[in-house]
Amino acid sequence: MKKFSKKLASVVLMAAILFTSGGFISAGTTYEKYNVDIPRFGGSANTNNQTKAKDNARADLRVSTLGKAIDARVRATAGGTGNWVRVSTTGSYTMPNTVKKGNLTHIQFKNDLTRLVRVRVAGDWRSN
Amino acid sequence: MIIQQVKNEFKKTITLPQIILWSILILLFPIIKYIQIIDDYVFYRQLDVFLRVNSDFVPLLFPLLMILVYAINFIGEQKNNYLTYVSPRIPLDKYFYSKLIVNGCLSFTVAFLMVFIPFIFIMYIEPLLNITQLENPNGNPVPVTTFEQLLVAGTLTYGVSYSLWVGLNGMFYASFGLILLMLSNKPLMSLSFPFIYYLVLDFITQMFGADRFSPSATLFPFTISQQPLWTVLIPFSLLLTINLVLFILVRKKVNDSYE
Repeated sequence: MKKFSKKLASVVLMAAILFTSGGFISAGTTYEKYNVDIPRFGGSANTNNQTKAKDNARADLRVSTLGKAIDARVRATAGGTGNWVRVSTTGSYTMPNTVKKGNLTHIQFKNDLTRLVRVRVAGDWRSN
Repeated sequence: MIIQQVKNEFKKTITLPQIILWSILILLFPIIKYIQIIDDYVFYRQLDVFLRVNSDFVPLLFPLLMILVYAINFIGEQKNNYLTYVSPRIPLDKYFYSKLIVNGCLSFTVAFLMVFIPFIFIMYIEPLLNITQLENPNGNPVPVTTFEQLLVAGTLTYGVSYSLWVGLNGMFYASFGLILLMLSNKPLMSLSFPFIYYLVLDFITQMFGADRFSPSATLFPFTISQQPLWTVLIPFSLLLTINLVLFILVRKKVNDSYE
């Protein structure tokens, strides 16, 4: 009984740490929602991080809301950032990259330099 | 008389430093953009490379670049009271009109080449050098832009027609600035006004979701999806009307100066 309460306490503690730290990182194979506002004049914005599940696998980006055409790429601080893909309409995109398994990865969106207003983009994605 | 004056004006303007300046205006931003994109972007078609080169810098600064072609030289003449010395020798209307003709021809040529040289390089020379690696879209939506309707008539027809369109607009943005300068003695305001007009109209159209009528997107269409060709005539008609009204005002000013 004592052992069980100790286990329960450690699970609760772990869950509390994960939730309060705000860094709840999804596994790369699960679609995760995003909803970001991209600043004007060539500004950029990121989705949350995911952990890459497989070396060099293309990420899947699904766009359900798109204010105006933008650029998007797979980005990882550890390296392997992919090339920019034009996202001109809602739909599904596969995103090239050479990010290695286990690295934190996100999608970076970029507005055009001639864009004088903010752009909203929403949908879901997975890094794979 | 006016033909002779135009010839004189061309002779006076076409100098080595000016040719270097025009070459910089034509090539600088397309080269910077080309270097910036070539390794970092996904391209599905060779045309995408050309459209990307015509995004960001040139569309943002277009009216300012057009003013730098020739209109900016008029500030010096105004400052040095050149007109006082000119009027006894040449009728002022001929002098102004010849300036407008030369400004129109030069800005048209610079704007045309700013687009046409990258077009020829990217569509015809670059594929021979194997610089860009085109990718299979793999189901990704391929962006299709305005003016691509002209591709049915051939790639070169598309390139020439599109470059003529940019040239024509460049000519009217340059004239906009020069006529304002002829009408007022405030060079900074006169020459920056076409740029402000362009940005404000861009901002308003973007804010109301009417990007297809924005001055920049109807000239450099990469930023939006394909639109019917008639849409590009809306901001152009407005620009043309502004030029006509300003030209009438200059004529009035010149005529009044004789009275």
